[in-house]
Amino acid sequence: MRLIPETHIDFAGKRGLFFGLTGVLLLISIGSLVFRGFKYGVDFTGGSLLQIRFEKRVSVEAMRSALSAVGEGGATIQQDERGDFFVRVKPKDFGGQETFSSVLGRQLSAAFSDNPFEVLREETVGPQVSRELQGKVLLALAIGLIGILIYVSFRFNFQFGVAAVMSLVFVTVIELCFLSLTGMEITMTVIAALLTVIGYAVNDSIVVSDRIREDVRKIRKETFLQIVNRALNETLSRTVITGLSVFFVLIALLLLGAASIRDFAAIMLVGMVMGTYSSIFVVANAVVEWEQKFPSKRRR
Amino acid sequence: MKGIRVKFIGLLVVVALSIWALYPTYRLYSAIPKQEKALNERLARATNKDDSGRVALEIAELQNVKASVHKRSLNLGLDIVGGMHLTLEVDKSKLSAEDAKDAGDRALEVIRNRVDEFGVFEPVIQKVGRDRILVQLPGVDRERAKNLIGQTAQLKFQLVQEERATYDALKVVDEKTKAGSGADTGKAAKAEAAPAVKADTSVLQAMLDTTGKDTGLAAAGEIEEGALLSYVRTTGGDFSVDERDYAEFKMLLERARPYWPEGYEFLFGPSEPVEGSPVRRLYMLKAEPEMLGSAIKDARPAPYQGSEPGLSNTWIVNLSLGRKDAGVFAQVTGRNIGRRLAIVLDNVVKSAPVIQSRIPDGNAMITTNDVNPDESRDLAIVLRSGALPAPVRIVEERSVGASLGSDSIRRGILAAVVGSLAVVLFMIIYYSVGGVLAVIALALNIFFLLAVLAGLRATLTLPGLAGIALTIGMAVDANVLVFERIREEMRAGKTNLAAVDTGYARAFVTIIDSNATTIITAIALYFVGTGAIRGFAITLTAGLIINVLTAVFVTRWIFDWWLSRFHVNKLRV
Repeated sequence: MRLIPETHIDFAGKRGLFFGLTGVLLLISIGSLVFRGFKYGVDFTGGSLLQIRFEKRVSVEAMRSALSAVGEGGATIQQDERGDFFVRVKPKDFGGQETFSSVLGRQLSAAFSDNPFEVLREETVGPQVSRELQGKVLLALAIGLIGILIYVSFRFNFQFGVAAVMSLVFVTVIELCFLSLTGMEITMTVIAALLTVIGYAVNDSIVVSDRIREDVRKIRKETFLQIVNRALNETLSRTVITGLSVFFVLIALLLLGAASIRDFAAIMLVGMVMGTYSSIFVVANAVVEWEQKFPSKRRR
Repeated sequence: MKGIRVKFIGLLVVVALSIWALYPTYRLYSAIPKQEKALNERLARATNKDDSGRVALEIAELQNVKASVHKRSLNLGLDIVGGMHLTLEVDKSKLSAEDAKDAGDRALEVIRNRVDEFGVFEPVIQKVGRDRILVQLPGVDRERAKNLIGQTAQLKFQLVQEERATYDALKVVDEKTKAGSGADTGKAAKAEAAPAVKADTSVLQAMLDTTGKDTGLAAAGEIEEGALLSYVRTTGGDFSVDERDYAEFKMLLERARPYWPEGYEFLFGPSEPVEGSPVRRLYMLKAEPEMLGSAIKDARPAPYQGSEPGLSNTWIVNLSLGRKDAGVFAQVTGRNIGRRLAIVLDNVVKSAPVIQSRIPDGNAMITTNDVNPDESRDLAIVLRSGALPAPVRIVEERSVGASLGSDSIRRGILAAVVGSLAVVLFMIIYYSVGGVLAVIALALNIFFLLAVLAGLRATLTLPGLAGIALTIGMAVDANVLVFERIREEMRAGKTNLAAVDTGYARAFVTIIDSNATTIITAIALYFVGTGAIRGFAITLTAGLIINVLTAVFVTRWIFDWWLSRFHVNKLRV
């Protein structure tokens, strides 16, 4: 069976168009980041998140008044379709051994004495720990990107290294825009999803870069632009098949998984599409553009 | 041909090793729960003492087996099975440099003792950094566990001041506070204060007259709104404050600390229900403790057997003091017969009994208001394992209730199975024989990865599962790269064998590069990441290394064997 016939699409020749498209996507993303910003989860802001399930459904107003009674009237309250509450509060010292969940738990038992509840999840992160987490995540991303730059520069050349990192930055910015637009909270799970996306995006750009490198060595008669086009067309079938396989898994996770897995799958889906897009339209085209502006004397 | 046989034998050895590594995991999650269930059913059916004793013995034995198997198997993280993950920080701010040095280690020891006595299956208690302690407890009553772990357990015995003295002290505090805050408004405030002072004797008298019946002092009138005394009522002869007003009252009282009588302090009892609404008793204590409870020899929970009606059916903790402390205790009790001695734990007055006679044997009792033995049981554990060298603070908590965990596991497994089946079908339809090989490689990849994780004693968390998902994607991609390449070579007119040969050789370079870059990011994550991210990094790194081996070598061997063994006209890849 074969899905993709032999193609001769002029990807590299139309790079102006795709640079434009990429630019527009980036502008929209940055605009969204500036105007909408992000919601950070308690991992990064510090504070507490409780997920509470009552036996019988309770209204948001009743929850709000219970929270006001313990001095947390300013808490963020969300209720999902099952009636579960997601309550977020800022970090606060409740004194001694008391925590937000123990204080609220007592209040809820008193206020809804005929309606038992269960705290399904509690996350409390102190202000110091949240600052450490922020630093660690940024450091991990920076070191990862620099590592990729060094490896790709070494195995290919510096141009490909820069192009690969550009592609990863592009994918990350688009993902952040997606998080900003959907209002998804940035938590450790989201960071894990972002890292997975970066892993795939790197993989895609390497596959394309590898083929370009191979064809450059093999084919002497064609121009660099023609070679890049050839490489992109040759790998197109692989790009589509791999993309489809991952797509099947993600769709299954999206439709059947629990809430946290659904978020994960949604982020991956966006990242996979953008990673594939950028391997073709950002990495390859950036290398072509660079080669046109500053032709290298001898290719490896 | 001979080379291939050696390769397959090598592969079989690796498979056998993996089965050996995963066998304990299989036992832990499949065989042992079945045995446990069967034994529990037998225990329920047991008709006489001998029978149930025998079954109980077998259950205990199974628990030992379970613990030893658990150490050798792949464990599921608390974010999947439910449980509590705490990071505590030892607050050294009030310790001397000398004491601060090993405070972390001592705190770790105390907490470990408490958790051990509490009886949790396979807890994790570790020091992280210099003064942080990580505690992971699967499936426990979280509030109870937090209370058990976090209590400093500083026990003091302090003498209680009688009601009249407390009342007078509070009145003075009120007056001074008023004078202090009214200083800027001038004389008007002082003039207003006068009637309240005049009325006080009658109010106190009214209160003391109604012994046994709880009264609000404010109800007797004459006390000003906002004054400390306006919050106070009486409960069984003690002053008390409504739970509702507790926070506010405590704040007002703290603010007036400079006006407290010299050498005394105010402390509260625990929240207790009185006629349906919770209150806290207020005590004025001599600040200098009569003795510290540092040398408690033993502490045991027991049902209350005394005569006080309010305490019938409740549980108590019996304390026995060490020899030296028992001597001090005998002196203190002998000197203060008829007065009340408060037992204060972490600045909460647990009970304040009247000293009836000199107590020579160093036995004391802490009463609770609980009809359930849990609290007294935990308190006894805490007292037995000693006080923490300094208070600990919870700086991070991640807890997942068991029901949320099992819910997400069920749906996660369903989604993963459906997704994998879709990929398997797609690969087989699209690449036919090649697809079958890819599926074999994929299955081996996951199997080896789980075996390696079990061998590393790793814990499988949700980010770890994300790492496995990424590995599977990369494995599919590696196979796709190979097969697409073989197709290309065949289109170029090469023979089956040559096409397979070139296809693998060319794809190998790409696969190495793409896996290597991803491993680089994973390693960066491991070194800077936190627990959750590390799980992701470990599974990903192990998975990708295995991926290169299974996707490039194992499928290649099968291809070679197949092509050499059978006469294949047209390779269907």
